[in-house]
Amino acid sequence: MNIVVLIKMVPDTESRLEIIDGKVNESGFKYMVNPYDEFAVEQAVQFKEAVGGKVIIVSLFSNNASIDTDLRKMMAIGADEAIVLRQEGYRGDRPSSNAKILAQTIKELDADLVIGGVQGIDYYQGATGPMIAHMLGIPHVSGVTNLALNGDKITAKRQIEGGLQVIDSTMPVLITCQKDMNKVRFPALKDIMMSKRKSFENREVPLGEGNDIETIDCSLPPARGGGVIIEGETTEEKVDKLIEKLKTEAKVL
Amino acid sequence: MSRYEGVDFYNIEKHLTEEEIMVRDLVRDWVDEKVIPIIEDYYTKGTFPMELISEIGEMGLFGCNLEGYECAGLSNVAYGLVCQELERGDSAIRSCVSVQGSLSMYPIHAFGTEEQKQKYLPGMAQGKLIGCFGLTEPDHGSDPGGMETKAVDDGDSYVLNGAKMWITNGTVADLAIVWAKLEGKIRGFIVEKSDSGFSAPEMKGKHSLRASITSELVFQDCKIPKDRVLPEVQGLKGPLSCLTQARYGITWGSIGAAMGCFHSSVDYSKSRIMFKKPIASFQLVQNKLAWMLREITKGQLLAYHLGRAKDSGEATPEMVSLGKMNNVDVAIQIARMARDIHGANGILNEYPIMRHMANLESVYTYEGTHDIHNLILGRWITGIQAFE
Ligand SMILES: Cc1cc2nc3c(=O)[nH]c(=O)nc-3n(C[C@H](O)[C@H](O)[C@H](O)COP(=O)(O)OP(=O)(O)OC[C@H]3O[C@@H](n4cnc5c(N)ncnc54)[C@H](O)[C@@H]3O)c2cc1C
Repeated sequence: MNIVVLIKMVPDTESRLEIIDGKVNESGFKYMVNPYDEFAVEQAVQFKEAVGGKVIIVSLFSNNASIDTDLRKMMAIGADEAIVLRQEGYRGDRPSSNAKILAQTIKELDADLVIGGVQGIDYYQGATGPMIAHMLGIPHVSGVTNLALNGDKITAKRQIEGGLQVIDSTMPVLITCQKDMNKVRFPALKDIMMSKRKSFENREVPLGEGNDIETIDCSLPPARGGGVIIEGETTEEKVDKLIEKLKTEAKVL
Repeated sequence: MSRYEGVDFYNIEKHLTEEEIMVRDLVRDWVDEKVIPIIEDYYTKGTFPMELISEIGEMGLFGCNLEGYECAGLSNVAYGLVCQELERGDSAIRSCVSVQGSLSMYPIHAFGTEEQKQKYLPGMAQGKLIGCFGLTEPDHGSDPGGMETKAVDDGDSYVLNGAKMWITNGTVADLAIVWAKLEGKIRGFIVEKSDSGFSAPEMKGKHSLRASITSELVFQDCKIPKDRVLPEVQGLKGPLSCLTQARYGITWGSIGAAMGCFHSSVDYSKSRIMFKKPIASFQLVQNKLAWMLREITKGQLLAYHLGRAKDSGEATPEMVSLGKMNNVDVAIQIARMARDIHGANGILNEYPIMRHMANLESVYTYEGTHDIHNLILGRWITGIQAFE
């Protein structure tokens, strides 16, 4: 079974967010593997262990090499190869052109399963996976909470409001993983040592063009105003004032 | 508390290999997920979290700087980073790994027969067999050469008599590396849990390293087969060479505990408001934080340099003594300072501070007390030994 895992590198959650002229200042960012994508790696490796095959990581990112070690960690978990598409001027908020470039690469990999996270925790668009499926002309199931091989089919479960949906699909198929789909393993030291012998290929790719959305402004949430302390001589007086405010100002009563 | 990202003011990471970084991060994440959430509980109960042993074994941390026999064969720097991260969790976890790898696997690896290595090392690397190291006796701590435990050759076996004390992992160990005098010479023996005449009662009542098991080893006409002696070493240099390995790990581990205290202190001082300001805005508190960072950075550089020297075979036991002595000394002072910064909260088990502080009191004493290391350095400087 050939499995392609999509990994997006996203700003580390401890990075300080700063907006300059309506744009996110990414200069001081550290990056990490999108947490949802880690579930995809773990699932892919479990399938490989069960039925054999190969797990190939595909990631689109800038030329910033600081991410390499974190990708290598995914190979310690059990992925066999990494292909990193290096794009000058890469941005994480252009799902359509990013999907186009990723789909071109994936097309050549003869995948039975393409798997990634349900969304990137940078822009939360949740669009790249479904778009790639569309471009590859294969079915897709998104936000999967449990995935099982079932002969030449795959069975996906989705937790939806108030219930569980079970979906069967032929392969090839594209799956996006919901949080806590599985427990990502701690690799052994020998897996870490082995990971450095695995193929890690960097490929230059051009900037994708056209037909994409454009982010025109970003801003931080407004600073929260201070609370109001209701003064009064007695508790009754304070409660009366509070009820008055709830009626006239908050208009909730 | 904010997520722990390590302390690396001088960007030592730049000098680490990718593999070393991955090993450090693995253990860091594991400690965050598996040790820190449970350790206060075990500390309070005074027991060791045994369920962690198999996980440590599966990751391959036991004896990870040894070659062959299912050991990972990592660099000494990688091994040091493992100790650093484990001890940020708790000194007990690092102690367990030190005792297993440096004090029990190492002597078999360095001084054992091929059969002994085959028999014990793979199981120990996987955490399926636990080892302990019996050197200290009730009446011989800093002066192990005066040990009274004796082995006698009775023809087809050795018979051991005597007692060891303060033995980490003793009660749960499957095998003990026991140092005893045979015809007046110190030799190493492998005693197995089921050997007749051997018992390992646990010592109770510790206020330090409470999440570690500490035991007595008692030998009453304990008979062991002849092939359980470590053939390749005689005299005090046997146990001392093991101690050099473990002391090296402590050089890194103690700084890990200090990093945990520093991290908590920075967080706490920024959020604790007193006189209408975060206490981090007062000069006296900043001075303390700056001192902590300064000593951690020096200790880190020392550990890193020592590690590279060990990898290239240039590290001497005296260099290791200086590392152990300095880094435990500053770690304990950092822990006390952190206790002060945390105010009354510093004594609570909601914060790791008091636990680290109490643990480090043991670390200050075991593996050669602080002053014994001063004497080792004094002998190196002057050529005069001042032990006796
Ligand atoms: C929690 C814990 C776990 C341990 N685990 C192990 C283990 O697994 N295996 C093992 O074999 N041992 C272990 N030990 C024992 C430890 O190594 C000894 O406690 C240590 O060597 C000190 O010996 P002592 O306690 O007898 O102190 P002593 O030797 O009695 O020392 C008491 C004081 O006298 C000072 N002193 C002694 N001699 C001199 C001198 N010549 N000049 C100046 N000052 C001197 C010391 O520095 C110290 O301050 C452990 C100890 C503890 C606390």
